[in-house]
Amino acid sequence: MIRKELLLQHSAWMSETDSPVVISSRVRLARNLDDFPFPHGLNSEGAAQVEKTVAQVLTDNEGNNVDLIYIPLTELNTIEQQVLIEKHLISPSLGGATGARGVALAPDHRYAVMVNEEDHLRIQVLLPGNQLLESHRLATALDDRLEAKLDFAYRESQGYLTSCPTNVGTGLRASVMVHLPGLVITKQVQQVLGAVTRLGLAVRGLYGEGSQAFGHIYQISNQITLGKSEEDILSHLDAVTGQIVEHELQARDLLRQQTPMLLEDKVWRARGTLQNARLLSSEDAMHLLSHDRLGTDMGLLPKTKDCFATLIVDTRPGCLQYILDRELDPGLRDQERARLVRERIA
Amino acid sequence: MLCQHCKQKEAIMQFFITENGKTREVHLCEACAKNTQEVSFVFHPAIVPEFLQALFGFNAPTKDQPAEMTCPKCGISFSQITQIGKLGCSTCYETFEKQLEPLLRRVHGGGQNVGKIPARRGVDLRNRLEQRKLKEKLQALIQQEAFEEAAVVRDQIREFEQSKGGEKSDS
Repeated sequence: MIRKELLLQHSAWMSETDSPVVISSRVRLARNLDDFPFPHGLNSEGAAQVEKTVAQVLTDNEGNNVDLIYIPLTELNTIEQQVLIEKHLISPSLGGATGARGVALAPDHRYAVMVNEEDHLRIQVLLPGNQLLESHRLATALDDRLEAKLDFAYRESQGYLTSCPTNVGTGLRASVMVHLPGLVITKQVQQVLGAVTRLGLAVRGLYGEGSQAFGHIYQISNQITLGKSEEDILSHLDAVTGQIVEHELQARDLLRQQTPMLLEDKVWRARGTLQNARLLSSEDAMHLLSHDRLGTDMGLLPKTKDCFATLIVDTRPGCLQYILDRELDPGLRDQERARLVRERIA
Repeated sequence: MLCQHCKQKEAIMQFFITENGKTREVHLCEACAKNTQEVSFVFHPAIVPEFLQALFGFNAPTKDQPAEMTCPKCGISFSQITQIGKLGCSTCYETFEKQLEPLLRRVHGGGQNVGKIPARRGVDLRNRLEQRKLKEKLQALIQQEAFEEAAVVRDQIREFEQSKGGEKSDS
């Protein structure tokens, strides 16, 4: 698969599911090689050696049902790196770093293993909808496959040893990406997410910060990684996610019952703007796409050709320029973004 | 919010300053933040590694302490760890176990690892845990005077020791 084709591939997590609130699930396992200092302490030779060792095992696809393709980040230009960040396949810190580092991707982007990020390996599985358990099952299977050939740093009392002590133990960070326009419009989002943080989970706006999360998309993840089993961590997050979904659906019902015309106006106005605008900023696009998705979820608008997550990602600056295959200044970008949305949402 | 130093400009940066084992929050404007040299501070508390420096700060050695221990594998000292908010290598966890313990308790609420055990490298550990579990079961059965069942478990332990070469049982 050529690189452009691989990067432009529709990521599995962006697929539409029957879940109206949970867009995607992600599980990430932090692992380190016992024989090397953690990445921030590696010199350039050490980093290259870790990359070589890990990439070799990652791409040894014989007898495995997961084919991974390794991409050294040093071979990618800024826009290509931005595409990987916008698709949530690598972290911004991996993109912004220097030296030997990279990502091993499955063709459908279900697996994305970062190499030489904060830890030597960050095994990630990303699936659409609420599939935390399945994501974890896949990540664990890949972890087992890698562990058969690599010596991971581990101690009985502290579990998997990580560069930052916030990840030690299971090395597991599980998260769900949720779309909460109902809670934002009814001004309940702070209250609900505040409760979530008191339950030991972290909340962040996926794009933007706090209550200003563009596109009303939030990421909920576990904070504690030591002293709890993987099953406990996942079931806790899963239970809280269920509660969030319930609150969001209640908020949507409230909107439908108490201000039906206001709701209809909001979603149709969004659809109208998306179908007709000639200039769209990235933030505007996310805001309008969020209202449009609310409308389709609630049966008020006909479904669009492309799904919500795909449109959100493809209208980000890096992906937009990569799809169009040229660098664009911000003004031209708004023009091209509006054109892309018009075509896709018709 | 106004800058707590010049009290003129809008505060745009929030710092967590750790002095003498106590952490306080300070809001400063850009200019004052740049000029603040007398204390070590941490930017962007929302970013975990940096925020951790403040947490690490609780354990940081003072100037009066004797020469610091360093990790025999990567050579990093605990002061360096507190500055960067990260450990140097896997051996650091053993080297600085005592210093890390309060930090891990603050971050994770205490408790030892109960998560996954590596399949290949964890064979011995898994066997030890299995053996420990059987011994606990045996003790419980003896206390309940369930001697027949206890004898079965005792045989299981012996069988286990023979097959896996685990710790020799005292019973």
